[in-house]
Amino acid sequence: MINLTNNSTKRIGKKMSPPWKHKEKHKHKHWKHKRNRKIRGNRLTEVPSGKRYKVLSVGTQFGPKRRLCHLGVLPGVDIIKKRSAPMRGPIEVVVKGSSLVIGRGLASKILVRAKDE
Amino acid sequence: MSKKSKEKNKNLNNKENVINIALAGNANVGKSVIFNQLTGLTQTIGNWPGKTVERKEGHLNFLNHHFNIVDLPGIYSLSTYSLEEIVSREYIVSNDVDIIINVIDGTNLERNLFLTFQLLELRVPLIIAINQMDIVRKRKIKLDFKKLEEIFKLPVIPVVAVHGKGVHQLLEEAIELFTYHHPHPHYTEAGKEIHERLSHEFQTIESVQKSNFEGLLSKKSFQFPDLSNITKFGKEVETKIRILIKKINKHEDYFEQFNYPSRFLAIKLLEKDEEILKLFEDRDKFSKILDLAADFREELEDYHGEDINTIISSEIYNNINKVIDQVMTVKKREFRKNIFIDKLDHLTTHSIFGYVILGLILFGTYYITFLVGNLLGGLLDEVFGMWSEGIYSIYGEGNVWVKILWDGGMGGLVGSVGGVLVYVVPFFLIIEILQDSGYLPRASYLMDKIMHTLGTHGKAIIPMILGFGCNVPACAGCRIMETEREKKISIALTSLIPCAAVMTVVLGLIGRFLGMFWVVVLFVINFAVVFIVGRILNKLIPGKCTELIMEMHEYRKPNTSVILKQTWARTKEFVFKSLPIIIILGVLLEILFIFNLLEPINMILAPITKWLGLPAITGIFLIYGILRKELTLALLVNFAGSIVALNWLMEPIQMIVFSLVTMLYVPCFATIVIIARNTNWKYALKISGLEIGLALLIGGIVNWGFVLISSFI
Repeated sequence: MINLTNNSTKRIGKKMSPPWKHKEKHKHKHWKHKRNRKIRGNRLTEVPSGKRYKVLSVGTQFGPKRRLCHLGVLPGVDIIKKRSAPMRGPIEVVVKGSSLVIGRGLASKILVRAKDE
Repeated sequence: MSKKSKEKNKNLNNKENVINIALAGNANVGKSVIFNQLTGLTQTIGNWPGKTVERKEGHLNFLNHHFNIVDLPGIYSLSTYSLEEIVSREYIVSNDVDIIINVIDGTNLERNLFLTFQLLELRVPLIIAINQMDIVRKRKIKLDFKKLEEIFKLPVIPVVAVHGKGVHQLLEEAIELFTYHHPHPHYTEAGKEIHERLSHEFQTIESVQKSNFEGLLSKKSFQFPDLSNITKFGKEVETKIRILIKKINKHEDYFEQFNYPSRFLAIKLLEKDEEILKLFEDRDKFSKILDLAADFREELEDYHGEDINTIISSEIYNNINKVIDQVMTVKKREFRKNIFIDKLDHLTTHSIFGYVILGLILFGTYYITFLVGNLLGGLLDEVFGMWSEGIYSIYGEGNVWVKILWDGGMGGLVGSVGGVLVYVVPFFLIIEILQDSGYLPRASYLMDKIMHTLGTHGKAIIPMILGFGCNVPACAGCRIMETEREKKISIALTSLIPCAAVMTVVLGLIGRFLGMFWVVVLFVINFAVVFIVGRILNKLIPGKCTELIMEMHEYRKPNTSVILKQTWARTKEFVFKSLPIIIILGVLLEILFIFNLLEPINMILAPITKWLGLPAITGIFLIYGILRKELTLALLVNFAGSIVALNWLMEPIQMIVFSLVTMLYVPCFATIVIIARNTNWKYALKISGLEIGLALLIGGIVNWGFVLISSFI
């Protein structure tokens, strides 16, 4: 059987990608590493309260992540850690001008960096 | 005017124009205040058909139009995070709604506008109401409304809901949108003119109408402005969206029925929105589009190094900030914080004081409720007693029909009103105050960790607190939980909370004869059961517990009008939903009693009462208790002759077992119905079965344990 695709032999049977897509993928291929880059930051649950931080990444699952994104907890956003509930409970933060309460499990996956004023 | 137009006018005059409005916005922005002012006492609280999401609606007449207003639950976006968002989204694009009023908190523009931008993508007739303008002014923030209207090309109205300012203007704008089918730019001058015209008869409107006006504003005929300059994303995203839109438009005939604009569908496809993906399930037609969307998504995620949600949300917030920069100026950078509110906030979330305050509030709520309830209940009993005397003196004691209808039906009614409503109404009032002032999220914050051990999260404490008053609205209140799993677990746990009726039994029996120590012991056992059931359900029901994500607002002074109207609406819901069932059952049981059909039932129950070590007659009382829990005690007292006589009828251990069983064995019938309504009948029966089983088990253990131990002494 003649392989009519113009992709590499690894992708036998894969549908032919439209011309514009092929070009774009080639153009930005060197950005692929960005996704897997290591992010150095502190967990929101471990940093001291009462200070300003900058969100570096939100590493939660898809559902809660979408919720947090819609509420404004996004990389690059300013966040103030107001307080942490007793008994390793939820964290109260201030984002986009109002207070949010985030459960501990989620908060531990939010990486932040201290903002020096 | 010509003869033909005169006739048309006559018809228009007779038929009122009906405008359907939905209020959409974040929680705690003042939506309820606006809703309350518009609908007053006409508001009803119910459920969306077949869904466990609260639906508040009401109506009013204004300027010759009839407005139906639906207050949507507080939402932060139109995604699939919670059932509330899904239901709201579907409703907003449906043909049941003509105009959406988006209520925004002026002091918190950035986050509030996120929902606004989602609404803009839906291209629905929209009015933007910026509320809390008094606080905005107090903080020396200036908002340029003219610029806002220029940018959004839709009516933007400043509102101070608590003062009633601007509320009716919203309706006037709605009438204008309804009449002209497109937003009228720069309404300030033209609007005044139109307002004057609207105040006259309909005849005047007809003279400026467009030819296709039939009194119906359909979403299709509405000319939504072109807002691409504020809603468009970065180039790499926009090119992909455009391609997807082209593909989607090829199937226009299919997608037309859903009322979603193509751009909205394209964006949601990229975001992997579960509900929208369902529309694309037909593999033959749509597999290409789905694959394309997936490829685009992967490209964007590789390009930006973030997932798609972050990308799209960042773009939207970018656009929001561009708008805010143009319209908002803050004169003074610092504003004086309210020290009292700050201190209150600190205290109520403190590691120690927070819990102390929570305990005090619970105790205080209970105490006040009982105080008021007992007072009113006593009064009601007296009145009913006098009525009964009167009725019997007229009809005689032997009249069967009187007994059935009066004792059963009316007795059931008074028993319910006396037994439940007098406790429930003051309780609702207190809960509404706690809710409106902003305390309840603090309680969720404090209890989240503990709730996790029960398989749910902090918000579940709120219906449980409600459950101390009455399980019926409490179980309905489990609607606030986001997922089915949470709802099921919290409903089961809430139904185990001892309500006011149960408390009367425990206090009346144990408290009176055995002292407060044993009352506390019983409570501890009850909570232990709650804990155990929580653990069991956590393992049994598949899925993981969702984490708490909740906005916590500043404390604020509760609004009297809102509290009273909400309490009334909740009371109405309870009265019209549960009372009929209670009355019918009361009549049925009375019939059984009169025709002596209870003896056979007694015999059937004998093994159970033997197992529990209780006197045989109590079996019937426990059956009655399914209808209304306090009936178990009431009937016991009735049977014994007097309260004191109970001492001779039952041993202390029997009292303990009896109270325990009453506390645990089954939710009262009204509660079972509410559970079924909010989940399904299968689950409601399962929970009832579980609780009966637990009650019998624990009652039996206590009984036989006692027998065992006492045989050694």
